[in-house]
Amino acid sequence: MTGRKNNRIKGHVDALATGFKYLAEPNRMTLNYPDESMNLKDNYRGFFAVKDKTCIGCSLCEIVCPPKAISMLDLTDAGGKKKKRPMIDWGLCIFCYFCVDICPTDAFQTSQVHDKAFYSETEYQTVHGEPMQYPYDYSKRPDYKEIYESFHDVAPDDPSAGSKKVVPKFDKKRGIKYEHPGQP
Amino acid sequence: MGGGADGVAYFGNLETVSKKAVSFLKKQGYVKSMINWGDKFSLWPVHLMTSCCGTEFAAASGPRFDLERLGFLPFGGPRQTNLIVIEGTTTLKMARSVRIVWEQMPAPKWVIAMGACAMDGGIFYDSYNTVPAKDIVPIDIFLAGCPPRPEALARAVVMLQESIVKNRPPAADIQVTAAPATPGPKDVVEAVSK
Amino acid sequence: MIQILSLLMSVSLVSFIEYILPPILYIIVFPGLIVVLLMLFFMIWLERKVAAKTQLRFGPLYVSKRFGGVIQTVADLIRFSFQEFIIPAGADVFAYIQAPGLLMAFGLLPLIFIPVGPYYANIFPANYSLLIVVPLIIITPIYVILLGWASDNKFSFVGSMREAFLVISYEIPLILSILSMILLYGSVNAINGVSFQIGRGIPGIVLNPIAAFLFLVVMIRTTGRFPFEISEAESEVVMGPYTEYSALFFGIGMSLPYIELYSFSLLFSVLFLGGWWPIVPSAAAASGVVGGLLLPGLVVFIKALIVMAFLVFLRAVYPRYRIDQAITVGWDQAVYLGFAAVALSMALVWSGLV
Repeated sequence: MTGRKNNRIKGHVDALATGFKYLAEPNRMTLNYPDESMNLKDNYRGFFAVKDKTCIGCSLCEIVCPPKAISMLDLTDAGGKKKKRPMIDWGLCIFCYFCVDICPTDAFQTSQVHDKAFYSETEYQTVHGEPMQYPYDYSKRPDYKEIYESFHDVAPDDPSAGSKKVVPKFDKKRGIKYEHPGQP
Repeated sequence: MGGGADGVAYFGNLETVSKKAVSFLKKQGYVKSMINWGDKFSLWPVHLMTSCCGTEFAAASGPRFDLERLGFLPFGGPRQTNLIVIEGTTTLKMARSVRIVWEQMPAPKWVIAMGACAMDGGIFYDSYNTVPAKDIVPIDIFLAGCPPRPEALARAVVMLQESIVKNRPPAADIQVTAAPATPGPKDVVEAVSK
Repeated sequence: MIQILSLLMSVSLVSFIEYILPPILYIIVFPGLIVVLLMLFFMIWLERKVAAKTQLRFGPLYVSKRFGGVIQTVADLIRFSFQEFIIPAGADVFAYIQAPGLLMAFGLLPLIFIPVGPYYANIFPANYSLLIVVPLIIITPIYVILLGWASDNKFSFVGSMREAFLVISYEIPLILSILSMILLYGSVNAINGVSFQIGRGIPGIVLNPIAAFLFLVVMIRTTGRFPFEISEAESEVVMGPYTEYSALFFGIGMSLPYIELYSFSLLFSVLFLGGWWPIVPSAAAASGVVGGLLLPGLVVFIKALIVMAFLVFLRAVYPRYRIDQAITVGWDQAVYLGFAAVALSMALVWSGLV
């Protein structure tokens, strides 16, 4: 019984000592997000876009997509030529990258952008990164040509583009630390 | 002091007067900007974990991403909070809880739909037992990802703060009832053809 | 009218400073309302910040980046002030609305009777200060129980019942701890206690460490700091007695533990830490406001601030006791420690060592 009681007192003292240690010498591992952002690995599955020049409209991505986030649209370009192009609904996409893997012509332009949020539901249902408006029959839109020429080949804009990019490093003594890639 | 000739003070109905005074104060620019500033740095989400995005929510409050920097403090009771983060799939059973908790919260309240399941259904898009979050409560911010990283949740909070400062009213004030389901492609085609 | 004017004129500036200003100063400025409000803002911020620092993170920051987010509590207060105030359908409306006000009033009342300087004896009757402070401190939990009962909520009720159990368990140790100091100082006047400590040159915490430790434990319990944050345990009973309260009323409810913490810390530094010890005002200085009230008050306040900072630091270190563990500690170990403290004081007095 005395042994247990001694252990109990030792436990209180140890807890307080550990707390004071971290209070005196803070060992913070926080990423200051809106000011800093992490440089992720090259093959991180982020938002993606479709390169219009490379896409052949084979519909394989639509077939393989597990949540049916991709649906093929019949588009008509400026020359009156009919094309099939995938529309991506970010409200369904689970970022599995099956579409990127299966694409025979590597038409998907991938990115590491992962922190996008939307104010309304019309913003995230997109054709090639452009907000999709209902009715999405693009031939009926007056500015169709302009948009059709500008939207493709463009990766989604990065909301944290202006922030300082850092790389997480594991240090055995200090835990997680962040380093700037420019530094040695 | 003052008032009628017979020495009786006329204040009117106290409740009406106080309500009028409060609404007058809230319309003043400086008071409104002060309230917005308070709301911006005091977004307390209620603990309500509907699904797996809750792990990312917990990570966002942990030491590595620490959203308490932005004044984002997860709190136990719904009466004291003003934000609800719907974390992932809402089954029919959890949808009821989400609605109840949302109705328990006091008036200026915001909703973040986190993850694909809360937005359009995600991988459970045709399940018999799930319901998109936008059919349950009016939503302010949609956050894509399966699940979104904690930084993405931070981005959603930053966007919400920006919208509060820009005087964008909460979706709960605009949509009195739950939003109707967005028509899918087939519905639109039918509607247009008619 | 002329009579009143002549009466006003007869009250000279000197008598105004001597008789009217000190009580106003004492109640409004220090240790009263203004300092309480500032202390509240600072302490809640400090609690969040210290817990964050110990848990390897930053805590509130972006609200004012340059000063480490020190005005975070102001933002929270503004948000709470303009939120909707909800009265539950089943609530006892009268009790539901008046309970937080009563709670606040009885939380602030002990501050009047804690002497923070020798000049205090000129303002209020100080002869029975400890006898008045102790019941006033003990009475606040009754309104916590009223709060929980009026809300018509299971969690509120369970939380307030927990509060009631704990109050009963820790009342006797608190009284025994203060009784041992009363025996030691030979007076229920706290000013005499301080002069006893200054005269012997030994603070009370060295004279009777058992009573000091016991008082510290009871202080943690009464103010709901960890590890005794049982009645508001978030993971068990949602917010305890305050579950149904929204808007400013919740703010009042939540600030009460900090006000209690403040009054307890002032009492602790007066009883055990030598009061205004480094400053020993002479008889002439003690009869003035500055030398007798403000400077000693500053010293007592700094000591109380250190005690409060230690207690809010405990949040970062401890988990939470179960209710049965806490009650066992209260009835089993704390009561025996209380008897030991009384016995130690008696031994010291009878042996003539002090």
